[in-house]
Amino acid sequence: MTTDDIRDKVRSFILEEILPGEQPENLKDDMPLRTSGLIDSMGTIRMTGYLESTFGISIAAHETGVENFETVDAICTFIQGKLSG
Amino acid sequence: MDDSSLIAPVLVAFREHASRTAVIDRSGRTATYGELDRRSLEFAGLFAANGVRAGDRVGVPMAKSIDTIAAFIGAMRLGAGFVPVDHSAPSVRNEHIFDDCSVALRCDESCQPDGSSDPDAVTVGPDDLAYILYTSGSTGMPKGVPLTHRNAASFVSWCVRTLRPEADDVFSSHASFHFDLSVLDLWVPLWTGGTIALVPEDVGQDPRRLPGFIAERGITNWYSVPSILGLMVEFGALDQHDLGRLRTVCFAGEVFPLPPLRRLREALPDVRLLNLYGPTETNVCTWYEVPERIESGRTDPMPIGSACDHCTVGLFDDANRPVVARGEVARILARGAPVMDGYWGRDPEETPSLVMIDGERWYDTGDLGAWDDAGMILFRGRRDRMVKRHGYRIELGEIEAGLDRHADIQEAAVWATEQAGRVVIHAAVVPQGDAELGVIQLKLHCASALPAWMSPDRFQVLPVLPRTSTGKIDYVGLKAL
Repeated sequence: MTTDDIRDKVRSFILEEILPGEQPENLKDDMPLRTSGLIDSMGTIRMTGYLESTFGISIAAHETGVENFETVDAICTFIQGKLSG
Repeated sequence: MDDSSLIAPVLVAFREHASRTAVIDRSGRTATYGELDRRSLEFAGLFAANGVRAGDRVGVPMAKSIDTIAAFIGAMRLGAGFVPVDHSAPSVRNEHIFDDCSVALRCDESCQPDGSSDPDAVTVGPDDLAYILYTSGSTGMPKGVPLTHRNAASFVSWCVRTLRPEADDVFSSHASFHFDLSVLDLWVPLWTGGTIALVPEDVGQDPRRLPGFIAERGITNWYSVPSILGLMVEFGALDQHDLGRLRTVCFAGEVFPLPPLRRLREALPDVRLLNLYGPTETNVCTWYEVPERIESGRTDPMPIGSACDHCTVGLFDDANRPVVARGEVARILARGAPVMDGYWGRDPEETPSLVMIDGERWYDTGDLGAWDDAGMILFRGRRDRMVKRHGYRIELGEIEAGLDRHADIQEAAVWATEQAGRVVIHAAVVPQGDAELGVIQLKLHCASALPAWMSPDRFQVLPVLPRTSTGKIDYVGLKAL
């Protein structure tokens, strides 16, 4: 899976499930998602489930904090690490 | 059991259980009853030195900690009431609350007593204020629910009779202190020599880490909203943790859909499962113990049960006549020792939810119920524009008022739907002039104007809001969009 594939899947989940109705270009990949309140803890739980089933990875509870889930960029880096690790 | 003071039994426990653990904080640090006794006295000294007197209020915008509990007790030792608020909520909301009940002191994290003054102890009366909890209000401003020592002690005393706690019990403290579920979490163990285990916020919202936390802390009594329990059953791998100490799981605050409750029942076959019901204004007024086996054909949620023995609960029609027929949907009303006398600063005579029936004052919960065949009350939804999400009572009008504070919003309408047992909050907004409103922008505004649990899930930008013939917002039309 290419970096772009991962990015597309992460962005489409956020745009469809968390921010439905938003123009895709308004979601910047370096925009804070957690600390800004755009994604709450329930949203993170749903996203974790989606990422696990979409990418066939396993995400531990302690990995779902701000360090891995703050921006689209961080989420992509985190998934890439999982897929190559 | 003393039913007239929330604080007196705690002071007895301080003496009888001085060396036992009273609180385990979020990081695992503990305080014994003796230490909590001294610390609460130090807070009382600090409050007294800052002019707090019997009958005053102390605002407490602090995160959950041993000190926060000591501050609550410290206020009561002076005969003052405490006002816990969500420390993470926008400060404008908390300031409104503190102004509304004119607190004598705001006790935040910078309040660090040094134990230099020793206050005179005050004996409280049953009608003295113990604390005020603020709930979502339809005008956009939260309403204060003052609970007296009698109101609170009557409820805690019922909990003690029903849960039969022992001094080696460990109670979870999952709910925030400004939320009424915390009343059981704090005062039941503090009356009986048990231990309060404060659940860290990040763990508390993470269903995968909670079972491990329950096992590690040796929690015997868990209490939370059903949605957390539902997520724990789904994601928490309960069978991989040793939850053998767990004796009781209580839940309240919203309807527990049957499928996850069934799975919880099967996962914890030896644990008492109690459904507690009651708005903040009444503490808990009905309860239901989930049977050991939930019959396989059942699809309806479990009843909210029958009245607790410290109050009276009835179903009434719109003419305030009691409804006894099975299945008939009617208003749920409660009266008695745990029920508040009136909202803070408002005349009970002018409060629509307080109704006189045959010389008795009842609180109208705004909820609808019906009797089932076994004489239990079934919950049948809300009458007004209030919804419950993650256990929080949300007046949709408060969200509308929060959206209206955005400079680029001319008008907003908020409604809720239910999808697969999940409450989804929708907002339609009309921009001011040519302003462009994006979902991200609206969400960020909500994050600054409203508590996180009030932020809508779905936004639509509309040129105008649909109206009914009388000019009111047409919510039925909005739902159909």
